Amino acid sequence: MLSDYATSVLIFAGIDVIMALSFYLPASSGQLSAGQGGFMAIGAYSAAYLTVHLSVPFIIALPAGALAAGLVGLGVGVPALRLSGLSLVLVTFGFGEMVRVFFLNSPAFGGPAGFGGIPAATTVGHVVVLVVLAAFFFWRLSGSRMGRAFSALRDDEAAAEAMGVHGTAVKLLAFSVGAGIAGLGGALYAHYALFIDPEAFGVGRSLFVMLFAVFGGLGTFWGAIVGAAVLSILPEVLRFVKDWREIVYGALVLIMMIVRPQGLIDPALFRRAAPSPSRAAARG
Amino acid sequence: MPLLAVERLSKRFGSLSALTDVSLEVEAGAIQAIIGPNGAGKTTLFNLVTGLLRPDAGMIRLDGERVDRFPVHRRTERGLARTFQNIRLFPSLSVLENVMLGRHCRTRGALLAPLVPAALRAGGDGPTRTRARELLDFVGLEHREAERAVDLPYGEQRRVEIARALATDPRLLLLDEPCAGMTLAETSALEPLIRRVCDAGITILLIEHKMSFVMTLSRTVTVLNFGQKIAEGPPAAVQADARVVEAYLGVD
Repeated sequence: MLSDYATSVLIFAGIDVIMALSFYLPASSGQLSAGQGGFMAIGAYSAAYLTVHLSVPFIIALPAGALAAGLVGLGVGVPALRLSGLSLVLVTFGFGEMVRVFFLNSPAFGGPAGFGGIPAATTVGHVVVLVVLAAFFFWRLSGSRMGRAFSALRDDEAAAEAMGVHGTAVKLLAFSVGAGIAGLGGALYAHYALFIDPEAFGVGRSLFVMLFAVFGGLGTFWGAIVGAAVLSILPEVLRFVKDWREIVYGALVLIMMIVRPQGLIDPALFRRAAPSPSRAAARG
Repeated sequence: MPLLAVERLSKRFGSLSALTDVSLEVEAGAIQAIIGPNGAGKTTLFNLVTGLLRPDAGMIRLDGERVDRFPVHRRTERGLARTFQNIRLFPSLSVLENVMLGRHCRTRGALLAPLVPAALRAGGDGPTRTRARELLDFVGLEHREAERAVDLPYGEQRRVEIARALATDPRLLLLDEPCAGMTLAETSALEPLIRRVCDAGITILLIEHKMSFVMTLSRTVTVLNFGQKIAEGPPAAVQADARVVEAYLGVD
């Protein structure tokens, strides 16, 4: 069996992967969100409220947390998706702060003192199953009708619409499902950490989620998975440098982004690994 | 009833009148052309018809139905498709995927559909792939399907764009300077392709600078200059029109 330490590293890494994928989904349709921490908070608090105060089984509270975050994502998305690029980053950042302050000022959710007494429910099994399911979904998505629409919208929104893609609806879908995935991450987190407070889901969280995906590479969902796994486990590997850990961590991220600005994993890597027949013929 | 009817369309950008009171009709089955010097408002007219721009005044009817208030994607659903002057293929998609994207509004497939095994799903991507391959075959690029669209030579990219537009099942295809940036050989290969598209029952409205191209292909030519229609008619008549000569050559 896994030690407690290994279990905690694995579960937090798995949650980070889910969070990075929650950022990747809207990003794959061209929308950068700096508010994934806010959606994570909604999933964490609503799932925890259900299990603690309403004695709802974890297995129901988990999707309920995702649903709550997804619905809020839908509500935020309607006005927010009129914007794009940096404006959208700033609006979603503002949203994340609103969520944080909301929970800070809500006695029902423990306010600034936090929300404790959450039953331990999240296991390595849950996290592994959900990460595998998510990876399978993203793998199939990349060759599907909606996956193509996402890529087209990111590449050239006006051309995609001229080819019949309902840009607003498709982007809203990507944004709210991304929010739902973040909510799922939050619900898993709450039932492993057992105590949550608003600060756990602030700007820092949102930025780390963004960093995971960008560090891994936004060209494919594998980037989000690998980036989150590497950056989540890296601090554990760096324990030997003690107080210098965060500086070394920062330096490694910086060096990596200079060497591979496209991220660790990019689609060209796959093409090199499996050349298309015509290219192989041309080369051979 | 004409397939496309543009009635007194106007568009201003600030103090510049890009288009003033332009009316135009395209009969079903025709190959019709719009010509005019640079800045005459040709692309503005295309952008108004396809919905990338909103008109300040005027109406656009497709087969009698007013489409000028429709968002871009709904006009595509109604049967309007286009190519762009500066080719706009999707760089992150392959040639085949670019054409498959054109089937988006003619197919269903929810976000979560990929989780369901193909065998249990009605339709799925199979028919989309088959249709996209047929269209690549139609434009003569079936051997290029796996390549990244932006890696192709310019002339072939234009053909992919035409295949992608055809994938939307258009009634009216708008071609914005299809010969722009193409070699002589590529241009002469494009002419029969456009005829074959027309033979397949798709009406064509094209913008073009290359006079010889326009004159052999189209039955009716509309001439724009400074955002206004200055002449319309069969190619020979238009070519002889004094105002057209003046617009193109200037008058001392």
